[in-house]
Amino acid sequence: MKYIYSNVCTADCRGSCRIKTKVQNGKIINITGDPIDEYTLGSLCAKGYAQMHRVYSADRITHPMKQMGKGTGNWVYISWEQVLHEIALKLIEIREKHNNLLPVCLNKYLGSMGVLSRSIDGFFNSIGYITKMVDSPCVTTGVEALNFSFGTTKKPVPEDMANAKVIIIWGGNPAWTTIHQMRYVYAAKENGATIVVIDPVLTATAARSDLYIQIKPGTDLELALGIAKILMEKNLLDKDFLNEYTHNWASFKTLLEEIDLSQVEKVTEVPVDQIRNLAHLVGKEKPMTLWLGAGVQHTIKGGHSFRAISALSAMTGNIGIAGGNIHYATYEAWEFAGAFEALKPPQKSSIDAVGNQNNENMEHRYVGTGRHSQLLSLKPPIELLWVASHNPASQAPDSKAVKKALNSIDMVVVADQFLTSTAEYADYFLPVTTQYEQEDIVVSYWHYGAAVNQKAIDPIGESKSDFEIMRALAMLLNELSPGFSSFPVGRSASEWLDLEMQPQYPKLGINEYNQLIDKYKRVNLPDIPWQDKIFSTPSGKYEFPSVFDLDKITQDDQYPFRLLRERNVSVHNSQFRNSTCVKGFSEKTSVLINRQIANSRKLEEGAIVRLYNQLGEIVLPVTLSDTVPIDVVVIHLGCDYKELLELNDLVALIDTDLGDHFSDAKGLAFNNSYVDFTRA
Amino acid sequence: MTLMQRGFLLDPNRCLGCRTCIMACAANKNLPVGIYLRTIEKQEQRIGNRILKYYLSTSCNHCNNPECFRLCPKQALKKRKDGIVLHDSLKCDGCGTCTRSCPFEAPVINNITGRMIKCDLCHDKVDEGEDPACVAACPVKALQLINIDEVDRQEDVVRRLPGVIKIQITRPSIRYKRLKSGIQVLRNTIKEGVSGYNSDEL
Repeated sequence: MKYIYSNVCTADCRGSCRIKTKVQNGKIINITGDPIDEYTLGSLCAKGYAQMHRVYSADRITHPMKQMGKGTGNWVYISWEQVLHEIALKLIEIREKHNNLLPVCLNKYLGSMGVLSRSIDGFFNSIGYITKMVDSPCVTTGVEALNFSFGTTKKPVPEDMANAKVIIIWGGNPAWTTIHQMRYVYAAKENGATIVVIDPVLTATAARSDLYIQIKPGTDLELALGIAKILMEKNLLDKDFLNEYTHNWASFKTLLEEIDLSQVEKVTEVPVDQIRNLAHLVGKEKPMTLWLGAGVQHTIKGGHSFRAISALSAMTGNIGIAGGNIHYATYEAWEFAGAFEALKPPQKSSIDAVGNQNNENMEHRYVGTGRHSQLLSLKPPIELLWVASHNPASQAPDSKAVKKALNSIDMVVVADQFLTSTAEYADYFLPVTTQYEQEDIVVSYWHYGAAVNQKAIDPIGESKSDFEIMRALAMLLNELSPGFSSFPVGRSASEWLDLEMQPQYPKLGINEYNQLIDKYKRVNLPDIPWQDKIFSTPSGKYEFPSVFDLDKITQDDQYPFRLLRERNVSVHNSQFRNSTCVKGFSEKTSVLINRQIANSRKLEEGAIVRLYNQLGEIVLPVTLSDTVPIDVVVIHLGCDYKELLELNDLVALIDTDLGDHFSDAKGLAFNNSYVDFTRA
Repeated sequence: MTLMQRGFLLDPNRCLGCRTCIMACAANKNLPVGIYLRTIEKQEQRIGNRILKYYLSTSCNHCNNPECFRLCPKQALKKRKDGIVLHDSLKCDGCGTCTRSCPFEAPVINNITGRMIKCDLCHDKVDEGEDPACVAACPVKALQLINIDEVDRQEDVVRRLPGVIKIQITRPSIRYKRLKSGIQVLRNTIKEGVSGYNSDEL
């Protein structure tokens, strides 16, 4: 018998693509994009189609394992019963020893965007106050920047981009990261729009643009201020918008008056006449929309750069109108009930053995995602680290420091599908199901489509969903130490989903989530944000910034080449890097070096180089390219070199300029590291 | 000479190099891991102060004079009236003559069956009036199913792009949109003042 199920990709991606899964005799035989998906129109990305093979991949781990010594590779089989028992005893021991659970750390991130992945946080909330690694090292910078300017982040629906007359894609590569959105970029172009790409590297997106500006990396703030100055000087301003709906314009204007355009040219390496052309385009063609990319965000001036770039929209009145605004991020589509979030430790545990501590005075201890070294200096120290939906040894800056931290923590638990770089430093590996093996729901943060993910097949081997793992652990803990967890273990996955979806039902026009199976439904946010021009800032208006730190030193001249990372089209950060299916057509892992530089160093195509800086070195082949400037090297990791290479061995942990006002930590400047290289 | 010749039209001004076509095909045909019937090749050339960068998506070109058809010792290949080149895997013994003779390296040996496999232009879908899987899955409609003689009259359609091998003797049934390039302001490059931003044809 053949069955067709509805699934949805749970990757941290704008698409959240709906999938149709064909199952025969309990095995997936085919997947396709779901044609009812109005954002994808039924096409997946290459990785999406490869998911089917990922489910059955030979290197997938489908039973719990215990490593006899971190990093030894000496893994032995362990039963679920035993592994949960050993972890539960550790949790109980920690609480007995410390009278609290602060030595327990949860490092959960965005490996799955499914609603049920929130059960991981829910479980830890249900046992006590712990240490949590929180916030995104990426969007916290940009979100905070826009929060200062707009009060919150809102964005248009994806298709509104087709209404623009000018699209500026600044530091992003949607051709490789957001393929479906390119349909709207092209639609705008067919309607006569000018597509501008500002990027240090001539990316696949830049290659398809009408105007490509190659900017010196890290000088986005200066270029934006240069454009703003010309808009002001040439009076290319929307006076009504400035007068009625903005705050602090006078002070921003004063700041712009001090900007020296020849200095902007010197810093950005974009000729003044080209900056003028760009300003005229921004000031004269309306509507203009902005795509703010992660490339800008990952620099030490990323936050202020976003503020300055967004000011171009405000100066020209491109806010609150069709075809305008900023296509960046919003959390508006994610109003769930928060039932997992709301779980609290049982009251019983509120009084410790001595009776001088109780939960009411306690709260979680927070450390920013990716800042693993900080875990080592905490008092009380971390004794148990639970890593779920994340591969920090590969994705956080300074991989060696992350590994050192993992290595020094008494017990590390990794819940994943594959033996990731992080899992090498685990004591226990818990096999997690893919989305095909469990029910879930994903609401897209980009197009707001809500999709049900049906359970299409039984879990492979002994795999369990994160939800089932957490629930089983809660049950066991309460058996061993009654009242340890308040997790409502009697509630099924579908009951949780129904509970979390309650606030979404009216917004989706449904009363039961299974109604989403055959219908494309969107959370009903306005197509165009800020139409009322009422902003949630203190002034109620769009707020221009007053001060910029233009003198911040960006160049570490010890190493002459700025290291930029470009996400390879066939991987999703470290996800899919082990996929043999994707490997065959993935762009190979290599370092892109400017052809002239390579010639001067006598390096030929394919030469193997040692790329190094103060943190370490990696060895990889060279690709000669004219698309990379002379002071930059670009790495895009493919599916080869899986175990041999951590790009983040060379990426320093550097704060961006914003993030800790609205969140717990600043963002991380992944694009602020410098390297040199020699033939290996 | 066939009356009609089906083929592909690739628009390099739209193709993202995203590889969706490769995997949509592989998923549709349930190909073993590592076997693909389509390739994506990045092209990068510098012409003066302009860098051309685009992607070529290529499968079996369903040639008008297919070498595979001519040379197959088992006569396992046939050409339909609409020009689609089909392969009868029951006749195939996997000798590889076709894979060596094809200028586009389109036929591949399926290591599971030991026989050749290549793009059949999803003729089952085409017969139902649907697009082939690669065409249907392209997120930006860079790839289209065409009747070759219909597009050959169009001015913006060319037979080759730089980077496409020059062999035309087999008369491959693939056409390309003429490549366009925008204005590029590259660092360390002095440019004259530019007035408009409409893409130049190359």
